Amino acid sequence: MSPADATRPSLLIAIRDVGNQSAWSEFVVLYTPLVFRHCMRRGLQEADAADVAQEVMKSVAGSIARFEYDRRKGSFRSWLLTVTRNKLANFFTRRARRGDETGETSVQELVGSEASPSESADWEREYESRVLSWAMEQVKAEFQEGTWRAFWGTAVEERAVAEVAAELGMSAGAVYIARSRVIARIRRRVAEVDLDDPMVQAAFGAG
Amino acid sequence: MNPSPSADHHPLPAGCLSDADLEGLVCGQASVSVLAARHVEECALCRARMEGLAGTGSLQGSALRALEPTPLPAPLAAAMDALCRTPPSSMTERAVEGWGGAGDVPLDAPARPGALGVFAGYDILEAVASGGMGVVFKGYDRSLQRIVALKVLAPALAASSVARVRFLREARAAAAVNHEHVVAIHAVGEEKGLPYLVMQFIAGRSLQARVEATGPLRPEEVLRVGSQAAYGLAAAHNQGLIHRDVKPGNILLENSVERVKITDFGLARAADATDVTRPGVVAGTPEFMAPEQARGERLDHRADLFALGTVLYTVATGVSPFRADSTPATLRNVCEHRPRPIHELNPQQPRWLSDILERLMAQRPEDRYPDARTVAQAFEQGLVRLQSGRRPDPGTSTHEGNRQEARRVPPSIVMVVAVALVVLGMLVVLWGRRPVPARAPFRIVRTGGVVEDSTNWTEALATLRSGDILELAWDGPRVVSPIESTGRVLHLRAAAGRRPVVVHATRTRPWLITDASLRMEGIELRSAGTGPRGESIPRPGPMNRQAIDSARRSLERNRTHEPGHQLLVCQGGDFTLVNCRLVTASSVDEVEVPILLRNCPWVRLLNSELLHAGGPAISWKASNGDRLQLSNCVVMARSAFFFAAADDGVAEFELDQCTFVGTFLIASLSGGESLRGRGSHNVLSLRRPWVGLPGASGPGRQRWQGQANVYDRVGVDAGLQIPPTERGSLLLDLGLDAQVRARVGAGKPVRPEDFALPAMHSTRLGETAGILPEWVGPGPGWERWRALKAER
Repeated sequence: MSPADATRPSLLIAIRDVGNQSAWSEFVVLYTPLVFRHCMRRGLQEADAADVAQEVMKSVAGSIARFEYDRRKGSFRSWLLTVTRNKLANFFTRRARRGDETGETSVQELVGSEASPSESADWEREYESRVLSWAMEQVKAEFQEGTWRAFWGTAVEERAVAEVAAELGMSAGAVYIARSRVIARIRRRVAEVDLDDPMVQAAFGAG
Repeated sequence: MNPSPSADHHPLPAGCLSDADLEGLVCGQASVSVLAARHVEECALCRARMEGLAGTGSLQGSALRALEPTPLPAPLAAAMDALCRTPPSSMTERAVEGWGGAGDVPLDAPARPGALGVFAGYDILEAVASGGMGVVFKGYDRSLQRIVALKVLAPALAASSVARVRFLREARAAAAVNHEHVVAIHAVGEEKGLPYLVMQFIAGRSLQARVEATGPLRPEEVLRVGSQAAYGLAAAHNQGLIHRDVKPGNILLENSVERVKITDFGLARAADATDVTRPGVVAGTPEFMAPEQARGERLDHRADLFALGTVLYTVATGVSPFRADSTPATLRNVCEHRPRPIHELNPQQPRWLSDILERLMAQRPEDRYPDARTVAQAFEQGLVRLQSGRRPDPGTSTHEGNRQEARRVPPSIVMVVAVALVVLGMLVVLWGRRPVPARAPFRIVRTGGVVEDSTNWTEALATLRSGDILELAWDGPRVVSPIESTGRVLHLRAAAGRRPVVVHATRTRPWLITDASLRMEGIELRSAGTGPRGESIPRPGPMNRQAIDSARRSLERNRTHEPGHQLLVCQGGDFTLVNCRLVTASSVDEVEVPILLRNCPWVRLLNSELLHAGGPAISWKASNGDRLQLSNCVVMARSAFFFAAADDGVAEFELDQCTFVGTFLIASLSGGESLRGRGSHNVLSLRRPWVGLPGASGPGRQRWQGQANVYDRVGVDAGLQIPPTERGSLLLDLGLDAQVRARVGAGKPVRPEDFALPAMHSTRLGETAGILPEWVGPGPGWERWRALKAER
């Protein structure tokens, strides 16, 4: 790991510094599509899903600034799911409202209280896959075209190393190395934003 | 870093790349040398080492293929763009919801420098405190040129006309009280729709702040605060005013002299308006509440005496006697728990002070002191006697008779006894701090308080008498042979600090069978074959005809209510489970019901968990007037309980704050019409909550009164069966699409279209809707559930 990576402040800590606009943008780009996709899976229209996702991100921003993210209540990803479910419940309540007011509090409390196992599992998958695909988008520009294509052909498309090497005019050894380089870089990028990392958690331990 | 083969200290073959070389290859930016590339191509070992270093194995193929970038949908791109352009700092204020501070009270522009603004003609200098009820400002009264305190009702509460009217009425009533130990109310009014009252400003701190700063009070301080507070309460009681929320935060201590001033008379009533009370929120402060108040019964001035006792107990020991993790648990403690005498927790406190507090905190109001003035006098006498080194007047203690006899005993014996008591007291204190490892697994606490240890279960049982408590003093699982008991009240509980797990290994008979009252506390009971995580609990299959038939057969066999291999059988007498957990390993085809009850007039399961994959969790054969209550429980079973009426009478059940996972709430083959139920704040994750079994007579939906329940994961047809008497409840489907499909209640008829599932999900109907093994046992899912439950 290069020294620059080691000193890079974690994303979650960075966005707590409310003046850190670039950290915030990174956070938005990383997580908004995840929340959006989750809303779509719950049957929302694109416009509604975007609205709910926007509400979730605002709520997260507010809570993080107030140090409310508490690791004892679970991982960041499960917290994000809870916020998302609450906002979804609000959305459905608004939609289902037919004029009377009773019961809204209990919707929020109870819907917010627990995700079903299958929903949590879906969320885990969506979360992992969003972070990975974000990391891929992020690091792609750092590599030369040939290196990236060597990675893509062998790791993603799972074609034979020899075949990809021949196509790109590289040695098989160079293809192996290219693939390892890209994957290692993706993994480092993921680790940088891993909000459930023990170090990040420790930073929030007091909150 | 990832381990590489070289880490095992095997020498690498000549020509191989070193770890540093490999790291340079994988993490470096430099172009790859032809030599290194050739070596990696030829040497499988180095290739494997390199890929281990990069973590290639976990990131390949399908994991990545799903990630091919797709263009962002336009609404999402717009939302992200808008978010990125908004600094997160601007969102923080919006995120503060509800009552957070002075910002919620509309103030006029300040009229003098240094003031925050003007409210109702008073200069607002600063916000002193804020809470659920409202905010307290320090203000300046220009006409009378004095500092005052302004209490403004929270806007959220002020939105309710009931709360507004109550606040004003109670404040006006309190304004009539003029006493040196009651904070004087100068004015009451309403400004911009917010009721407020203007009070004497007390420079000082609350009793709560005092205890937090300096720890428990000395005996003379407890007596002084107690007598002054009691005089203040007496003055209010004379005006017919009940405080309803006596707590350390409402008892102020004036600077320097620490004169007691009670504040907030009657204001708890404003929050008690039903239209603003949130589910599970009780007006008043649960940990200082009298039992009659906790039960929502009519109360008189003696409720304040109980609260005063609890407050003094807390400040004398530093321990709140009834506090628990959740409000329901606290309220239960208030009604059931008898706190340890304060002199056991804090040896500095005299025994007779324990007795006074014990009398204040008597469960029945008629067992308390008759009025606050008598209490004040008892404290004053105690203070006088404490200062002159003598005992208090006999009239103040309930146990004085014994002590008078003790006075006639020769002094030398008194001395020996005193020393022994001090040593015992220290032991008790140490005991309370840390459980002493006990060698004997069984301990009998006799009615007189004598404790006997036993290592032999059969022997312990044989000597057990009605009223004795049998304590289980071990942690973790232990096979315990079954109990058969007749004619005596059984009380079993976990010893302090212990978490015993009783394993029932005899499948042919119940673990415990009794014909009299049974109470169990803090015990986990599992039938053999269930692992620590309940792994062997089978996942029920789809709810098809075959499964229904199978369940029905098992129920029919169970209909006779004969003891078989249940865990607990109680045939007569009250049945109480508190903080217990029952786990069984039976499947649908086995007839094992964890709890079998017949002719038990009063059945209560509190804060307990029943995990059972087979038929019903409880088989309940009721007589006329019998009651069953489940509070704060989790029941995972095919049905929560199986009901059969013994005669033509009516039995009642009550469910609150429970979670039910399974298929039915009630299974009933007969007598369903004689069952009457109420329930609120439950989560019913049941496929068909309201039917018995097909072909059987239902439990009479019309006899169910539900409020603020959540019906979760119900089948399409089941929604139609939610009774029209349901109020303010919700029908959710978290399992399928997290949609609130309909709100049930407010007298509106439920229509079939309210329950229609989106077409895309229709294929998933009919899937498992029963117990999921990952929900069971102390795994991560379980722990998460518990944590959330505790928060709620």
